[in-house]
Amino acid sequence: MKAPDTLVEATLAVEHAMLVAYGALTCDSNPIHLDAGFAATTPYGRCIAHGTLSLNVLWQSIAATFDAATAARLDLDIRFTAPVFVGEHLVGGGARMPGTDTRYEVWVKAGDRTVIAGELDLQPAALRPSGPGISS
Amino acid sequence: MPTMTFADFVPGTVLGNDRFTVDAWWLAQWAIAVPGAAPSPGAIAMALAMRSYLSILRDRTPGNLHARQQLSVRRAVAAGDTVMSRLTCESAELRHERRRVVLAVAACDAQGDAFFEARMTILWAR
Repeated sequence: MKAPDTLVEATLAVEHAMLVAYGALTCDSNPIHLDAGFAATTPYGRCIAHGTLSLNVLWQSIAATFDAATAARLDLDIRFTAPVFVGEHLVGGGARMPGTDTRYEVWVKAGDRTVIAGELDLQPAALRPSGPGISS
Repeated sequence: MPTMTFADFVPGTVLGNDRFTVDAWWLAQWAIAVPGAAPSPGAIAMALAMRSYLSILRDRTPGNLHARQQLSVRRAVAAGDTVMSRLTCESAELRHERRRVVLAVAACDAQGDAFFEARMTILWAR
């Protein structure tokens, strides 16, 4: 089957309760995500979402595009390029890179701002035989 | 463990190990954290990688910035699975006046079969 040219776009609205629950899931008690009083003293001025919480909209996009087996074996390499604030609506998607069937440029956007950008590879490199760390 | 500052990181050092079972409580939190979507293998792996890092390095300097994330998903973690993870410092270097720390999480089951590997690049505050 031919690889799709684009990922199915997914959306996610960021709410404070999501930050609280994601912080509990990941043992992340950083007040920049949870404490509006503390966040007001930072350059951001208000609470920001965990980068990997915002990344979930891209995972939803991947799940909507590919079958379960494909989504369970992949490499992702992304950069968090801008903060995401409570109340923002995120859109995740991607486009297949020219000349390849397995690599996609991927992104998460909040309005016209790109907040996450990177690359998805559906044909990941083999794991190293032992030891911690990841192949690159 | 005392607060980890940039000077404390030694490349190649294992910072700790974690063992976590994906249970009903964790999945219930997931439904609040990411409403309206079943967790995909990548989403679960990403959250478990962050959990490993943040539960092992509990005392971190405030103001750290998560700049880059690499994740290799090898198979799905399911409800009831126990995930064994190891956190390693891959590198710690001053680059363009930024304290750049690369941490790696390798996760597998009790038999050693890999679930995922993650590498997070963090700009350490001090």
